[in-house]
This record gives sequence, C-alpha cells and structure tokens, in this order.
Amino acid sequence: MLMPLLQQMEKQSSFGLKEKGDARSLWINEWSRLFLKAFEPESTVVYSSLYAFPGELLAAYDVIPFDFELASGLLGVAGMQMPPILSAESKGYPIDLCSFHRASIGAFLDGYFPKPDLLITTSYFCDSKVKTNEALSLFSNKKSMLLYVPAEINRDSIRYVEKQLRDISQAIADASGQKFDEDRLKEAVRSSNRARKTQLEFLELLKQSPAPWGGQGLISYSINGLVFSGTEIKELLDREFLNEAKHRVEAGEYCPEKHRIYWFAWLPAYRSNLFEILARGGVSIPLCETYNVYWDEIDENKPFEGLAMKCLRNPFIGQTSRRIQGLDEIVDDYRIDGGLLFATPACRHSKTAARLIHDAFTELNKPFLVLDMDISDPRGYSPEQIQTRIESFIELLENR
Amino acid sequence: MIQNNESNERYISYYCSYVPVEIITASGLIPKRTLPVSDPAIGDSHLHPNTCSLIKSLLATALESKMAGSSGFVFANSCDGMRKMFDVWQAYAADIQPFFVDVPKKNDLDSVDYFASELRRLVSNLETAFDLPRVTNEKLNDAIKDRNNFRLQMLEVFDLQKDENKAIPPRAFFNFLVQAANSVSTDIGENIKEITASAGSAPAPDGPGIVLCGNAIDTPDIAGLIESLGGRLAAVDTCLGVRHYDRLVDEDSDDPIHALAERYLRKHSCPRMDDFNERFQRLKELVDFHHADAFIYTAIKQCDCGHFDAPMLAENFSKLNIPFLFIENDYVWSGMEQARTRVQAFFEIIRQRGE
Repeated sequence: MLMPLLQQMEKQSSFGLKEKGDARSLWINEWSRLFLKAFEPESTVVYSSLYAFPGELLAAYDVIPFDFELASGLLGVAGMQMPPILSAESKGYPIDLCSFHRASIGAFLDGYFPKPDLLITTSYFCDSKVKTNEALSLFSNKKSMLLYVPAEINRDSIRYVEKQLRDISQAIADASGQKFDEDRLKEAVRSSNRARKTQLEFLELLKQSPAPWGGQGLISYSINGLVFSGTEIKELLDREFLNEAKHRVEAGEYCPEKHRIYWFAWLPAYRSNLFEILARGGVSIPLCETYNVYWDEIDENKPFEGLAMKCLRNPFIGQTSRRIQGLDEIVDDYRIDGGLLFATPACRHSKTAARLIHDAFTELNKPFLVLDMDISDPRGYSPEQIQTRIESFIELLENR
Repeated sequence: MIQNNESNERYISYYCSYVPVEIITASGLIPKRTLPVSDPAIGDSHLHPNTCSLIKSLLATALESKMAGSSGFVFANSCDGMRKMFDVWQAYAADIQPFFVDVPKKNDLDSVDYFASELRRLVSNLETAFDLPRVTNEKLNDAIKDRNNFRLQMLEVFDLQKDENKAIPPRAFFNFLVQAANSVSTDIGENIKEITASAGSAPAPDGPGIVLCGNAIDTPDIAGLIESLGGRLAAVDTCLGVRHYDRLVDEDSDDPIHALAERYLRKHSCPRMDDFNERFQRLKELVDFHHADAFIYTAIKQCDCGHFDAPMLAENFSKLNIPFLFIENDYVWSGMEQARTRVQAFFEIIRQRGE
C-alpha cells in the first residue's frame, strides 16, 4: 500500500517539477524516490527516526533510511491510515497509544513497509517511539539500537552519547557490509553545517512581516525535511525554499497577515480545516519550534562528539524550559502575537507540561492555545469543534 | 537498622522503583515511598488532563500538601509523563524540593557507567541542598547492607506464595506489600512475622494461581477480587512487587555508587526498559517457579510503555498455552465491577481448561 502511494507521489511531483520547478515538488520527489529505494531488494534499509536521530551518520553509509513514523504520516495525508490503525487495534494496541505508532505497527504487520535490515531509534522524543521500534524489531527479528540521550549536558553525558553513536555506526557497518569511512562522515557534517547556515538565513528572513513563508508548509518541512540531514539534497532543498521566499519578498507576494503565531509541536497528517481557518483569520505562522536552530556548527574533526552535542541540545530533551528559552526575544524578533500547541492525545512529552508554556506566554501578555487534535486518527476530528476553538483564539488575538 | 542521627529526621519522598534509596539513607535522610492519595482530577489544573492518573495523583498529593514532612522528592525518569511532571513540580510544588535522576533505558556497561555518574550527581545535589556531611563509601555500604537485608526478607515472603498450602491470602498479601512500601524503616521483622504467621492459615484456595503483573497498582482491589473468586496470588510483579526487591547490590564494594547503578539498572525491569525478551523470559519464570496457572496483566490507561507490552505478552503467553488476561485501569480502579466481570470470565475459562 505504501509503495503505490510513493509511486504516485513520485509521478505527480515529477510532473510538478517539470511544470513549476518549485521547491515543494523537488522535496516530495526526492522523498518519494528515497523511500521507494527502500523497497528494492538490494537496498540496506535502516529504520530510523529521521527527525530525531542525526542523519549525518546514516549519510556516511550507502544505506536507505526509512522512518516508519513519517511513512505513517504519508499514509495519513493520503487518507490511507485507518486500515493499519484498525489492524493494530485489533491486535491489542489500544486507542490511547499514539495514532502514528498504531499506524506504523499496523502498516508493518500488514506488509505496507519495506523490510528493515537494522532499526535505530532514539529515547527522544518519546517512549512510544522506543516501544514501537522495539516491537518492529521483534516482529522483523532484526537488530535494534537505541540511542539514549540524557537530559543533562555534562562531560559524562557527552561521552555516553558519543560512545553510543560509535556503536551505532558499527552496527550500520555490520548490517550494510560496508566499512566506516570517516571522510564520508566529515563530508556529511560539512553538508549539515552548510544547511544549518542556510536555515539561519531563512530564520532571519522569516522575521519579516508579512511572513514570506510559514504555516503548514514550514511546519511540515521542518520535521519531514530532516529525512535528508547530512546530504546535498537537504542543502539543495533548503536553498530552493529560501530562494522562493526571497522571490516572494522581492515580488511583494504575501498572504494577508493580521496576526503572527509561534507554533509548538506537530500538525495533523490528514486533511482538516485547521490551517484554512487560521488563514481566513489572517493568522500567519512565521515560526515553529521544530525549525529553530538549537545546535552549534559541528566540528568535522570531532564528528561523533559534535553529533552527540547536537542530540543533547535538542529542546525536546530535558526540561520544558528549553522549549521556551528566549521566548521573549522570539516574540520580539518575530513580532509574535500568540502561541499554539498542537496537542495530539498521546503525545505525553510535548503536552503534559503545556501549562508551563502557557505561563510563559501569559507573562508576555500573549494568548496561548492548547489545541487538542489527533495527529493521524481522524475519528475524533470535528471540523466544527476546530472552527470554534480556532475562531475563539483568533478573537483573542483581535481583541488584544 | 540504620540510625539517622545526622538528619534531624528529614524525609525524602520518592515513588519509582528505580530511585536508589540507599543514597538517600546514606545521606542521613529518610527515604519515604509516597503512594499518591489525591484525586487525579485535581492534577488537571496543572497537567494536561490526558495524562496518566498516577502522575496526576502524585502532583495533586503535593499540591494538596499531603506530603507533609517531606523535604524533597526524588524523581526518576520513569516515563515521558513523569519527566514532564517534574518540570511542573519545579514551578508549582517546589516547597518539596524536587531532584531528578536520569535512568537509561538500557543496561549495558556504558549505560551502567552513565547511571553511576547520575547517582553521583544525586549525592552531590542532596549534600548541597540540605547542607549535609559528605556521603562516604562506608555510609553507602552500610545502607546497601541494610537494604539488601530488607530485600532478602521480602523475597522470602514472596516465596511463600508458590505453595497453595502456605500462600498468604491475596488481599492480606497485597496489603503487606503496601505496608512494606510505606514503611520508612527497613526493620519490618515484626510485620513479616505477623504476615507469615497468617500463611497457610486460610484453607488452600480452589481457584487458579495468578501472577499479577503491571505497573503502579497501589490499592488491593484487584487482589481482593482474585481472593473473592477463590484464586491464589502466586506472584506480584509491579512497582511494589517482586521486581522492586529483585537483585541485591554488591556489598563492601570499592565503588558502591557503581554497584548501586548496576543493581538498579539490571534488576528485573518494568516496561519502561528496552528489553522485552528479557522481561518476558523472567515473567515466564515467575509463572513456572510460583506454580501459577495464569497471568493477569494490567496497565494504567495512559501508560504507553505498559500498553505496548500487552499485545506481545498476550501472544507469547498464548504460544505457551498460559491463559492471559489484560485489564486496563485508571489507577484508582473506579471500574472494579467491570474488572470483576472480566476476571470472573477468565477464571471460568481457566477452570474449563483444567477439566
């Protein structure tokens, strides 16, 4: 089921590339082609949380990275997520578990996904991801590696994470039959550093009002674009999206903007009225927390240590205060009028302490909305309820 | 028994089985396992409502000042919810000073080494926070011996349950586990004498021997249910059960912190650890060793780790032809009558299989 979807995506995006040559078509085209490679018999497929695990390490090998969560997201976008979700539920995975993970488990068991040769996961962002990875590893009888990243950054934790990354590198080498090539890792790190520079430039541009990009596209790319971390494709995509935004600035092509909000966490994978209502209310999203650059440039001569630091610095690890660090500056720089946390039911790590994020916005006298809405399971989705909540939020923004 | 002359009787609360209580004792403080008592709904004001009820109840217990006498609370990184609750606690319940211990999900040597560094950090934080004299290896080793002795005594009680003629009735047994958890003293000889005296005093149950497994079961309702249906509580593998007492710490070690790290990471695990096969193997051994007939597994509604294990446990026990029942609970067991129906039906199935 996933393969035909990816083939369709590839076809359509190839057409889009020919007709428009736009960044989004390029992104979807590269993504669909990458995941399709995972179905080829000669590929070494490494399941990994590509939005969390440092892709630079995978880019140092000739392996095909495959993210079961992002793949579930694609099923959701195509409206194909319910059969695997129901399949997982019928096997005892309850509705209280994250729908992305229910979809992943169901999709795997029903043969949607390519077979893994190795599975790698990270302790962040959540317990569910670790457990899903463990389950898939047991189902496929393939080795699984867990990168545990502690909350504290100190000499011991840096050493611990660095050692684990080296062990994982060895596991990738063993699974693929390739030798570790330090030069390739260095090149991946250099590529990552270049992409980081572009991202910083883009973040500067997004301070402009009206915002030359943002919204659903920015949020989606900030997560799903990480599939290509450490590769020239990521550099190219970042530059293409940046150039398009610059062109919009030059041409004065903006969406109407009355209010600007800072977006927290994820977005629904299925079609909904959420972004349409926000747009109707003149609400733009010039920044999302998943697009922030939180890590320093990586020293290519100490790539494992640098990647360890990149992992440790992730704002979703450690205390909630990391996610709102510098919020006052962000609010000023990006002219933020309010905040919104997309709170999918089972996402404990991102929403349990939402009160603290709310408090931070309240201190700045800005409204903050915790929007309860499932990321992938549309059974609880009510367009009317979303409309009510969003319109009330917009009213708060208007009345400030 | 350890005398706490240096502490002026300062209590440090904790909940999770991964909190190394020996460190608290060696610091001259008194570890007090706090089973939350407040209505979880009270926690809704500070935590997202769709959060584990145990976690909400724990915060609510602090907010309602029902942890009177506790100077601090040691959190382990049990799960996403607990970790985030620590953040909220720091903002809203900090009069009970929170301490955080990161617990790796793996138990390989690197993880043990890292965990040891975390435990050293905990020692330092406790010393600083309460202006305590340095925690020496000698104090740690004394605390380890004391706690090991406590564990051995408890494990002897657990052993009684494998024989239906000697087993302690389920509700009494479970109440004893809660009592042991609530005890601030490791000197529970009298309690053990009392409970073992009751062993075998009731007629041998005619129902199946059950291994009861789950995370946080802090009330005896399910145990009482098993008893009312004639069952024997062959083993309890929960946060208060046998896995809490499993595995001794190396005594008289030159590096007692490392010895503690090894014991806590390598004791019988709960679902938060990344080792399902090992855990299942051990649960199977529990069934065998305690001559159990069936397995009841329960998880709190929003416990992701607990729920992910359930289908795999069901499948694996099914392959072994061991009856398996999964029940969801809300920590306060408000759905007891529904649970009763299910357990009753389960016992019927077991009986019919036996005939």
